[in-house]
Amino acid sequence: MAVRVPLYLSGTDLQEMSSIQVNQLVDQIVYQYSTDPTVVLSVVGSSGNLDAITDTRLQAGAHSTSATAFPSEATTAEPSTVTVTYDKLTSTTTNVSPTADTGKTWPIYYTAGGDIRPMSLDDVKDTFLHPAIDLLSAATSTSQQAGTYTIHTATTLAGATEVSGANTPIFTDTRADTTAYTAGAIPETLDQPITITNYYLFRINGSDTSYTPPMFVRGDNDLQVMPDATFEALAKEWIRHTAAQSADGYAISYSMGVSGSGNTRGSGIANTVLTGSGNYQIFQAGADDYRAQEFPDGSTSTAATYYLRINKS
Amino acid sequence: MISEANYITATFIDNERKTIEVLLRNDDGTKVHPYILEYNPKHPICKELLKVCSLDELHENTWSKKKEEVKLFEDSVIRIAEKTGQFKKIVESRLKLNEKSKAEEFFNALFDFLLTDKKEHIDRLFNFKLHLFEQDVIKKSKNEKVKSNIRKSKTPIDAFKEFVKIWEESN
Repeated sequence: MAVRVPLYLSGTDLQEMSSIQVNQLVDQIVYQYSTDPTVVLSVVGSSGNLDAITDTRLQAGAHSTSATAFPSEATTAEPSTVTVTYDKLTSTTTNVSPTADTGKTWPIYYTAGGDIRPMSLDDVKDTFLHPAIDLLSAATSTSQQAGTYTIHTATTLAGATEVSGANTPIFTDTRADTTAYTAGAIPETLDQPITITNYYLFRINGSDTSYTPPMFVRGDNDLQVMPDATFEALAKEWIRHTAAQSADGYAISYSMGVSGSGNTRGSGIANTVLTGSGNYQIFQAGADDYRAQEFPDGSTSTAATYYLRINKS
Repeated sequence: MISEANYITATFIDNERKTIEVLLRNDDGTKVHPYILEYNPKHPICKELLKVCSLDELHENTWSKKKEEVKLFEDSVIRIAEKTGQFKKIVESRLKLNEKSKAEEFFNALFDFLLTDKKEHIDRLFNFKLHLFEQDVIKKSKNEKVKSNIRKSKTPIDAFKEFVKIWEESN
Protein backbone atom coordinates (compact mmCIF):
# COMPACT_ATOMS: atom_id res chain seq x y z
CA MET A 1 0.00 0.00 0.00
CA ALA A 2 1.18 3.47 -0.79
CA VAL A 3 0.18 6.91 -1.86
CA ARG A 4 -0.50 6.70 -5.62
CA VAL A 5 -0.75 9.35 -8.31
CA PRO A 6 -4.07 8.84 -10.13
CA LEU A 7 -4.25 9.25 -13.89
CA TYR A 8 -6.60 11.57 -15.72
CA LEU A 9 -7.43 12.22 -19.35
CA SER A 10 -5.67 15.29 -20.73
CA GLY A 11 -6.94 15.69 -24.28
CA THR A 12 -6.33 12.20 -25.57
CA ASP A 13 -3.39 11.45 -23.27
CA LEU A 14 -3.22 9.82 -19.90
CA GLN A 15 -1.47 12.06 -17.42
CA GLU A 16 -0.57 11.84 -13.73
CA MET A 17 -2.51 14.22 -11.54
CA SER A 18 -0.73 17.10 -9.85
CA SER A 19 -0.84 17.31 -6.06
CA ILE A 20 -3.38 20.13 -6.48
CA GLN A 21 -5.66 17.83 -8.46
CA VAL A 22 -5.29 15.06 -5.87
CA ASN A 23 -6.12 17.56 -3.12
CA GLN A 24 -9.23 18.57 -5.06
CA LEU A 25 -10.34 14.94 -5.03
CA VAL A 26 -9.73 14.82 -1.28
CA ASP A 27 -11.77 18.02 -0.84
CA GLN A 28 -14.60 16.44 -2.83
CA ILE A 29 -14.44 13.38 -0.54
CA VAL A 30 -14.73 15.70 2.48
CA TYR A 31 -17.75 17.30 0.83
CA GLN A 32 -19.30 13.87 0.24
CA TYR A 33 -18.86 13.10 3.94
CA SER A 34 -20.64 16.34 4.85
CA THR A 35 -23.72 15.32 2.87
CA ASP A 36 -24.38 12.39 5.21
CA PRO A 37 -21.95 12.09 8.14
CA THR A 38 -21.74 8.80 10.00
CA VAL A 39 -20.51 10.28 13.29
CA VAL A 40 -23.25 12.65 14.27
CA LEU A 41 -23.61 14.89 17.30
CA SER A 42 -27.04 15.97 18.43
CA VAL A 43 -28.35 18.24 21.15
CA VAL A 44 -30.58 16.40 23.59
CA GLY A 45 -32.51 17.54 26.64
CA SER A 46 -30.51 15.44 29.08
CA SER A 47 -28.48 12.25 29.51
CA GLY A 48 -26.28 12.77 26.45
CA ASN A 49 -23.59 10.14 25.97
CA LEU A 50 -20.71 12.62 25.87
CA ASP A 51 -19.38 13.65 29.29
CA ALA A 52 -21.52 16.11 31.21
CA ILE A 53 -20.12 19.53 32.08
CA THR A 54 -21.07 21.74 35.00
CA ASP A 55 -21.83 25.38 35.51
CA THR A 56 -21.27 26.61 39.06
CA ARG A 57 -22.19 29.93 40.66
CA LEU A 58 -22.46 31.43 44.11
CA GLN A 59 -25.81 31.98 45.76
CA ALA A 60 -26.55 33.94 48.93
CA GLY A 61 -26.39 32.23 52.29
CA ALA A 62 -29.62 31.78 54.23
CA HIS A 63 -30.54 34.90 56.19
CA SER A 64 -30.40 35.08 59.98
CA THR A 65 -32.69 37.05 62.27
CA SER A 66 -32.65 38.23 65.88
CA ALA A 67 -35.02 40.21 68.05
CA THR A 68 -32.22 41.94 69.97
CA ALA A 69 -29.24 42.66 67.69
CA PHE A 70 -27.91 42.06 64.22
CA PRO A 71 -26.67 38.48 63.82
CA SER A 72 -22.88 38.59 63.50
CA GLU A 73 -21.09 37.76 60.28
CA ALA A 74 -19.67 34.66 61.96
CA THR A 75 -23.12 33.27 62.67
CA THR A 76 -24.63 34.25 59.31
CA ALA A 77 -24.59 31.52 56.67
CA GLU A 78 -21.91 31.83 53.99
CA PRO A 79 -22.80 31.94 50.29
CA SER A 80 -22.94 28.47 48.80
CA THR A 81 -22.36 27.02 45.36
CA VAL A 82 -25.14 26.15 42.94
CA THR A 83 -24.20 23.49 40.39
CA VAL A 84 -26.06 22.98 37.13
CA THR A 85 -25.13 19.96 35.03
CA TYR A 86 -25.28 20.12 31.24
CA ASP A 87 -25.43 16.72 29.62
CA LYS A 88 -26.78 17.70 26.24
CA LEU A 89 -24.49 16.14 23.66
CA THR A 90 -25.05 12.72 22.18
CA SER A 91 -22.81 11.11 19.59
CA THR A 92 -24.31 8.54 17.23
CA THR A 93 -22.22 6.43 14.88
CA THR A 94 -23.80 4.75 11.86
CA ASN A 95 -22.06 1.73 10.42
CA VAL A 96 -22.14 1.32 6.65
CA SER A 97 -21.17 -1.47 4.27
CA PRO A 98 -19.43 0.10 1.29
CA THR A 99 -18.99 -1.38 -2.18
CA ALA A 100 -16.31 -4.06 -2.16
CA ASP A 101 -13.19 -3.66 -4.29
CA THR A 102 -13.52 -5.80 -7.46
CA GLY A 103 -9.92 -5.16 -8.44
CA LYS A 104 -11.07 -2.58 -10.97
CA THR A 105 -13.10 -0.36 -8.68
CA TRP A 106 -10.63 2.41 -8.05
CA PRO A 107 -8.69 4.95 -10.16
CA ILE A 108 -5.64 3.81 -12.09
CA TYR A 109 -2.01 4.83 -11.75
CA TYR A 110 1.34 4.20 -13.42
CA THR A 111 3.56 1.65 -11.72
CA ALA A 112 7.28 2.27 -11.46
CA GLY A 113 7.65 0.05 -14.52
CA GLY A 114 5.21 2.18 -16.53
CA ASP A 115 2.30 -0.26 -16.36
CA ILE A 116 -1.23 0.92 -15.67
CA ARG A 117 -2.78 -0.61 -12.60
CA PRO A 118 -5.95 0.05 -10.57
CA MET A 119 -5.35 1.32 -7.07
CA SER A 120 -6.00 -1.17 -4.26
CA LEU A 121 -8.24 -0.28 -1.35
CA ASP A 122 -5.14 0.28 0.78
CA ASP A 123 -3.81 2.67 -1.89
CA VAL A 124 -7.13 4.51 -1.82
CA LYS A 125 -6.93 4.81 1.94
CA ASP A 126 -3.43 6.25 1.79
CA THR A 127 -4.13 8.54 -1.17
CA PHE A 128 -7.65 9.78 -0.47
CA LEU A 129 -9.47 8.50 2.59
CA HIS A 130 -6.92 9.01 5.34
CA PRO A 131 -5.91 12.49 4.11
CA ALA A 132 -9.62 13.34 4.05
CA ILE A 133 -10.00 12.17 7.66
CA ASP A 134 -6.89 14.20 8.58
CA LEU A 135 -8.65 17.28 7.20
CA LEU A 136 -11.97 16.42 8.80
CA SER A 137 -10.38 16.04 12.22
CA ALA A 138 -8.17 19.15 12.04
CA ALA A 139 -8.37 21.90 14.66
CA THR A 140 -9.90 24.49 12.37
CA SER A 141 -13.55 24.99 11.41
CA THR A 142 -13.54 25.55 7.65
CA SER A 143 -15.30 23.76 4.79
CA GLN A 144 -12.45 21.23 4.87
CA GLN A 145 -13.95 20.07 8.16
CA ALA A 146 -17.45 19.87 6.68
CA GLY A 147 -19.82 17.50 8.43
CA THR A 148 -17.96 17.76 11.72
CA TYR A 149 -18.76 19.99 14.65
CA THR A 150 -17.65 23.14 16.40
CA ILE A 151 -18.72 25.32 19.32
CA HIS A 152 -19.63 28.98 19.04
CA THR A 153 -20.96 31.66 21.39
CA ALA A 154 -23.58 33.14 19.07
CA THR A 155 -26.62 31.56 17.45
CA THR A 156 -25.21 32.06 13.96
CA LEU A 157 -21.84 31.18 12.53
CA ALA A 158 -20.82 31.75 8.92
CA GLY A 159 -20.31 28.45 7.10
CA ALA A 160 -22.02 26.35 9.75
CA THR A 161 -25.49 25.33 10.90
CA GLU A 162 -26.73 25.41 14.48
CA VAL A 163 -27.46 21.79 15.34
CA SER A 164 -30.47 21.95 17.64
CA GLY A 165 -32.38 24.02 15.10
CA ALA A 166 -33.94 25.96 17.97
CA ASN A 167 -30.93 27.89 19.26
CA THR A 168 -30.71 25.60 22.27
CA PRO A 169 -27.47 26.24 24.13
CA ILE A 170 -25.46 23.19 25.11
CA PHE A 171 -24.08 25.16 28.06
CA THR A 172 -24.90 28.41 29.79
CA ASP A 173 -22.27 30.07 31.91
CA THR A 174 -23.89 31.95 34.77
CA ARG A 175 -22.72 33.95 37.74
CA ALA A 176 -24.54 35.46 40.69
CA ASP A 177 -26.02 38.81 39.75
CA THR A 178 -24.54 40.89 42.58
CA THR A 179 -26.67 43.89 41.59
CA ALA A 180 -29.84 41.91 42.29
CA TYR A 181 -29.15 41.58 46.01
CA THR A 182 -30.02 44.48 48.34
CA ALA A 183 -29.87 44.75 52.11
CA GLY A 184 -33.35 46.28 52.26
CA ALA A 185 -34.78 43.14 50.68
CA ILE A 186 -33.34 40.66 53.22
CA PRO A 187 -34.35 37.84 53.13
CA GLU A 188 -33.20 37.94 49.53
CA THR A 189 -33.89 35.08 47.12
CA LEU A 190 -30.82 32.91 47.48
CA ASP A 191 -30.12 32.11 43.84
CA GLN A 192 -30.22 35.12 41.51
CA PRO A 193 -28.11 34.26 38.47
CA ILE A 194 -27.24 36.23 35.39
CA THR A 195 -26.31 34.61 32.07
CA ILE A 196 -22.79 35.43 30.99
CA THR A 197 -22.41 33.36 27.81
CA ASN A 198 -24.41 30.75 25.93
CA TYR A 199 -22.58 28.12 23.92
CA TYR A 200 -24.06 26.44 20.85
CA LEU A 201 -23.19 23.37 18.79
CA PHE A 202 -22.70 23.90 15.05
CA ARG A 203 -22.19 21.51 12.15
CA ILE A 204 -19.79 22.84 9.53
CA ASN A 205 -21.29 23.18 6.06
CA GLY A 206 -19.78 21.54 3.01
CA SER A 207 -18.57 23.12 -0.20
CA ASP A 208 -19.10 21.15 -3.42
CA THR A 209 -15.75 21.88 -5.01
CA SER A 210 -14.79 21.08 -8.60
CA TYR A 211 -12.28 18.34 -9.43
CA THR A 212 -10.78 16.46 -12.31
CA PRO A 213 -12.25 12.96 -12.54
CA PRO A 214 -9.71 10.14 -12.51
CA MET A 215 -9.52 7.28 -15.02
CA PHE A 216 -10.46 3.72 -14.17
CA VAL A 217 -10.55 0.26 -15.82
CA ARG A 218 -13.94 -0.93 -16.99
CA GLY A 219 -15.10 -4.52 -16.73
CA ASP A 220 -14.11 -5.06 -20.38
CA ASN A 221 -10.62 -3.75 -19.53
CA ASP A 222 -11.00 -0.53 -21.52
CA LEU A 223 -10.00 2.67 -19.76
CA GLN A 224 -12.63 5.29 -19.06
CA VAL A 225 -13.02 8.61 -17.29
CA MET A 226 -14.77 7.80 -14.07
CA PRO A 227 -18.24 9.39 -14.15
CA ASP A 228 -18.70 12.00 -11.40
CA ALA A 229 -21.64 10.08 -9.99
CA THR A 230 -19.54 6.90 -9.72
CA PHE A 231 -16.59 8.62 -8.06
CA GLU A 232 -18.81 10.56 -5.68
CA ALA A 233 -20.87 7.52 -4.68
CA LEU A 234 -17.76 5.43 -4.00
CA ALA A 235 -16.09 8.28 -2.15
CA LYS A 236 -19.16 8.86 -0.03
CA GLU A 237 -19.58 5.21 0.95
CA TRP A 238 -15.95 4.78 1.84
CA ILE A 239 -15.38 8.04 3.73
CA ARG A 240 -18.55 7.38 5.71
CA HIS A 241 -17.30 3.87 6.46
CA THR A 242 -13.82 5.12 7.37
CA ALA A 243 -15.09 7.84 9.71
CA ALA A 244 -17.35 5.36 11.49
CA GLN A 245 -15.41 2.10 11.47
CA SER A 246 -11.81 2.56 10.40
CA ALA A 247 -9.60 -0.19 11.76
CA ASP A 248 -6.51 1.80 10.79
CA GLY A 249 -6.79 4.61 13.36
CA TYR A 250 -8.95 6.93 11.27
CA ALA A 251 -12.37 6.55 12.89
CA ILE A 252 -13.76 9.86 14.11
CA SER A 253 -15.05 10.40 17.63
CA TYR A 254 -15.87 13.37 19.82
CA SER A 255 -15.38 14.11 23.49
CA MET A 256 -16.25 16.92 25.84
CA GLY A 257 -14.15 17.83 28.84
CA VAL A 258 -11.32 19.82 30.33
CA SER A 259 -8.75 17.50 28.80
CA GLY A 260 -8.70 14.71 26.28
CA SER A 261 -7.23 13.41 23.05
CA GLY A 262 -7.62 15.08 19.69
CA ASN A 263 -8.08 18.60 18.41
CA THR A 264 -10.20 21.18 20.17
CA ARG A 265 -13.07 22.54 18.12
CA GLY A 266 -14.31 26.10 18.23
CA SER A 267 -14.60 28.12 21.37
CA GLY A 268 -13.75 26.61 24.72
CA ILE A 269 -16.59 26.62 27.23
CA ALA A 270 -15.76 28.57 30.36
CA ASN A 271 -17.42 28.07 33.72
CA THR A 272 -16.78 31.40 35.41
CA VAL A 273 -17.52 32.11 39.06
CA LEU A 274 -17.24 34.86 41.65
CA THR A 275 -14.59 34.11 44.24
CA GLY A 276 -15.61 36.28 47.18
CA SER A 277 -16.17 34.94 50.69
CA GLY A 278 -19.49 36.74 51.11
CA ASN A 279 -20.80 40.28 51.33
CA TYR A 280 -22.29 40.52 54.85
CA GLN A 281 -25.34 42.79 54.90
CA ILE A 282 -27.76 43.79 57.67
CA PHE A 283 -31.27 45.19 57.70
CA GLN A 284 -33.46 46.30 60.58
CA ALA A 285 -36.97 45.54 59.41
CA GLY A 286 -38.66 46.57 62.66
CA ALA A 287 -38.01 47.54 66.27
CA ASP A 288 -37.18 43.97 67.22
CA ASP A 289 -36.47 42.51 63.81
CA TYR A 290 -32.73 42.45 63.06
CA ARG A 291 -31.70 40.60 59.90
CA ALA A 292 -28.42 39.63 58.29
CA GLN A 293 -27.49 37.80 55.11
CA GLU A 294 -24.34 37.18 53.12
CA PHE A 295 -24.59 37.91 49.39
CA PRO A 296 -22.33 36.56 46.64
CA ASP A 297 -19.38 38.83 45.86
CA GLY A 298 -15.82 38.84 44.61
CA SER A 299 -13.95 39.08 41.38
CA THR A 300 -14.45 36.77 38.42
CA SER A 301 -12.45 33.61 38.04
CA THR A 302 -12.59 30.72 35.58
CA ALA A 303 -13.30 27.53 37.50
CA ALA A 304 -12.98 25.24 34.46
CA THR A 305 -12.73 25.42 30.70
CA TYR A 306 -14.25 22.59 28.72
CA TYR A 307 -13.53 21.82 25.08
CA LEU A 308 -15.26 19.83 22.39
CA ARG A 309 -12.58 17.61 20.88
CA ILE A 310 -12.49 15.64 17.68
CA ASN A 311 -10.28 12.61 17.67
CA LYS A 312 -9.26 9.96 15.15
CA SER A 313 -8.45 6.51 16.43
CA MET B 1 -11.51 32.94 12.00
CA ILE B 2 -9.55 35.49 14.06
CA SER B 3 -8.31 38.43 12.03
CA GLU B 4 -7.60 42.13 12.40
CA ALA B 5 -11.05 42.76 10.96
CA ASN B 6 -12.97 40.99 13.72
CA TYR B 7 -10.51 41.15 16.63
CA ILE B 8 -11.35 43.45 19.54
CA THR B 9 -9.25 42.30 22.49
CA ALA B 10 -7.93 39.19 24.22
CA THR B 11 -7.09 38.33 27.81
CA PHE B 12 -6.08 35.33 29.87
CA ILE B 13 -8.98 34.20 32.04
CA ASP B 14 -7.19 31.84 34.43
CA ASN B 15 -4.40 32.21 36.94
CA GLU B 16 -2.34 29.57 35.14
CA ARG B 17 -2.40 31.73 31.97
CA LYS B 18 -3.43 28.76 29.84
CA THR B 19 -6.85 29.93 28.67
CA ILE B 20 -7.58 32.99 26.59
CA GLU B 21 -10.84 34.81 25.95
CA VAL B 22 -10.89 36.69 22.66
CA LEU B 23 -13.63 39.20 21.95
CA LEU B 24 -14.61 39.18 18.29
CA ARG B 25 -17.03 41.20 16.17
CA ASN B 26 -19.61 39.26 14.18
CA ASP B 27 -19.64 39.49 10.39
CA ASP B 28 -21.70 42.66 10.17
CA GLY B 29 -19.93 44.22 13.14
CA THR B 30 -23.12 44.64 15.16
CA LYS B 31 -22.41 42.14 17.93
CA VAL B 32 -19.49 41.03 20.04
CA HIS B 33 -19.00 37.40 20.95
CA PRO B 34 -16.34 35.73 23.08
CA TYR B 35 -14.14 32.92 21.78
CA ILE B 36 -12.20 30.87 24.29
CA LEU B 37 -9.08 28.95 23.41
CA GLU B 38 -6.11 27.29 24.96
CA TYR B 39 -2.79 29.14 24.78
CA ASN B 40 -0.95 26.83 22.41
CA PRO B 41 1.25 28.55 19.82
CA LYS B 42 1.03 25.42 17.64
CA HIS B 43 -2.79 25.47 17.45
CA PRO B 44 -4.00 27.07 14.20
CA ILE B 45 -6.55 29.34 15.90
CA CYS B 46 -4.01 30.42 18.53
CA LYS B 47 -1.58 31.18 15.70
CA GLU B 48 -4.23 33.42 14.14
CA LEU B 49 -4.65 35.23 17.43
CA LEU B 50 -0.92 35.72 17.95
CA LYS B 51 -0.74 37.42 14.55
CA VAL B 52 -3.01 40.19 15.82
CA CYS B 53 -2.12 40.14 19.52
CA SER B 54 1.33 39.22 20.82
CA LEU B 55 1.90 37.31 24.05
CA ASP B 56 3.13 40.51 25.70
CA GLU B 57 -0.04 42.30 24.66
CA LEU B 58 -2.07 39.41 26.05
CA HIS B 59 -0.35 39.80 29.44
CA GLU B 60 -0.80 43.57 29.36
CA ASN B 61 -4.48 43.28 28.43
CA THR B 62 -4.98 40.77 31.24
CA TRP B 63 -3.24 42.98 33.75
CA SER B 64 -5.32 46.02 32.75
CA LYS B 65 -8.57 44.07 32.82
CA LYS B 66 -7.86 42.54 36.23
CA LYS B 67 -6.84 45.90 37.60
CA GLU B 68 -10.09 47.39 36.35
CA GLU B 69 -12.11 44.48 37.79
CA VAL B 70 -10.42 44.83 41.17
CA LYS B 71 -11.11 48.57 41.16
CA LEU B 72 -14.76 48.03 40.26
CA PHE B 73 -15.10 45.42 42.98
CA GLU B 74 -13.46 47.63 45.60
CA ASP B 75 -15.61 50.58 44.54
CA SER B 76 -18.75 48.47 44.85
CA VAL B 77 -17.72 47.31 48.34
CA ILE B 78 -17.12 50.92 49.41
CA ARG B 79 -20.45 52.02 47.92
CA ILE B 80 -22.28 49.28 49.81
CA ALA B 81 -20.42 50.07 53.02
CA GLU B 82 -21.23 53.78 52.68
CA LYS B 83 -24.86 53.07 51.85
CA THR B 84 -25.35 50.90 54.93
CA GLY B 85 -23.37 53.12 57.29
CA GLN B 86 -20.72 50.46 57.79
CA PHE B 87 -18.02 52.56 56.17
CA LYS B 88 -18.31 55.20 58.90
CA LYS B 89 -18.28 52.51 61.58
CA ILE B 90 -15.17 50.91 60.13
CA VAL B 91 -13.33 54.23 59.92
CA GLU B 92 -14.29 55.14 63.47
CA SER B 93 -13.27 51.76 64.84
CA ARG B 94 -9.94 51.99 63.03
CA LEU B 95 -9.29 55.45 64.47
CA LYS B 96 -9.92 54.10 67.97
CA LEU B 97 -7.23 51.47 67.65
CA ASN B 98 -3.95 52.42 69.23
CA GLU B 99 -0.73 52.20 67.26
CA LYS B 100 0.36 48.99 68.96
CA SER B 101 -2.76 47.02 68.19
CA LYS B 102 -2.73 48.35 64.62
CA ALA B 103 0.81 47.09 64.20
CA GLU B 104 -0.06 43.70 65.68
CA GLU B 105 -3.07 43.43 63.45
CA PHE B 106 -0.97 44.31 60.45
CA PHE B 107 1.79 41.83 61.27
CA ASN B 108 -0.71 39.05 61.97
CA ALA B 109 -2.51 39.66 58.70
CA LEU B 110 0.78 39.80 56.79
CA PHE B 111 2.06 36.53 58.28
CA ASP B 112 -1.28 34.85 57.76
CA PHE B 113 -1.33 35.91 54.12
CA LEU B 114 2.24 34.91 53.37
CA LEU B 115 2.64 31.79 55.46
CA THR B 116 -0.67 29.94 55.23
CA ASP B 117 -2.36 28.29 52.26
CA LYS B 118 -5.88 29.45 53.04
CA LYS B 119 -8.13 29.42 50.01
CA GLU B 120 -9.01 33.09 50.36
CA HIS B 121 -5.30 33.95 50.21
CA ILE B 122 -4.85 31.92 47.04
CA ASP B 123 -7.90 33.72 45.62
CA ARG B 124 -6.14 37.03 46.35
CA LEU B 125 -2.88 35.85 44.81
CA PHE B 126 -3.60 37.43 41.45
CA ASN B 127 -4.23 40.81 43.05
CA PHE B 128 -1.04 40.42 45.08
CA LYS B 129 0.91 39.75 41.89
CA LEU B 130 -0.63 42.85 40.31
CA HIS B 131 0.47 44.83 43.33
CA LEU B 132 4.02 43.50 43.02
CA PHE B 133 4.13 44.42 39.34
CA GLU B 134 3.05 47.95 40.19
CA GLN B 135 6.20 48.45 42.29
CA ASP B 136 8.85 50.61 40.61
CA VAL B 137 11.53 48.07 41.39
CA ILE B 138 9.71 45.50 39.25
CA LYS B 139 8.75 47.94 36.55
CA LYS B 140 12.38 48.93 36.11
CA SER B 141 13.80 45.42 36.37
CA LYS B 142 15.04 43.68 33.22
CA ASN B 143 15.07 40.29 34.94
CA GLU B 144 12.36 38.64 32.80
CA LYS B 145 12.95 35.20 34.30
CA VAL B 146 12.13 36.30 37.83
CA LYS B 147 9.17 38.33 36.55
CA SER B 148 7.93 35.21 34.81
CA ASN B 149 8.40 33.26 38.05
CA ILE B 150 6.23 35.81 39.84
CA ARG B 151 3.53 35.39 37.21
CA LYS B 152 3.66 31.60 37.57
CA SER B 153 3.91 31.42 41.36
CA LYS B 154 1.22 29.38 43.04
CA THR B 155 1.32 30.92 46.54
CA PRO B 156 1.81 34.42 47.97
CA ILE B 157 5.10 33.44 49.62
CA ASP B 158 6.48 32.08 46.34
CA ALA B 159 5.59 35.32 44.57
CA PHE B 160 7.09 37.36 47.40
CA LYS B 161 10.32 35.34 47.38
CA GLU B 162 10.77 36.15 43.70
CA PHE B 163 9.98 39.79 44.37
CA VAL B 164 12.69 39.89 47.01
CA LYS B 165 15.23 38.63 44.45
CA ILE B 166 14.55 41.64 42.24
CA TRP B 167 14.47 43.96 45.23
CA GLU B 168 17.89 42.68 46.35
CA GLU B 169 19.27 43.07 42.83
CA SER B 170 18.20 46.69 42.83
CA ASN B 171 19.89 47.48 46.15
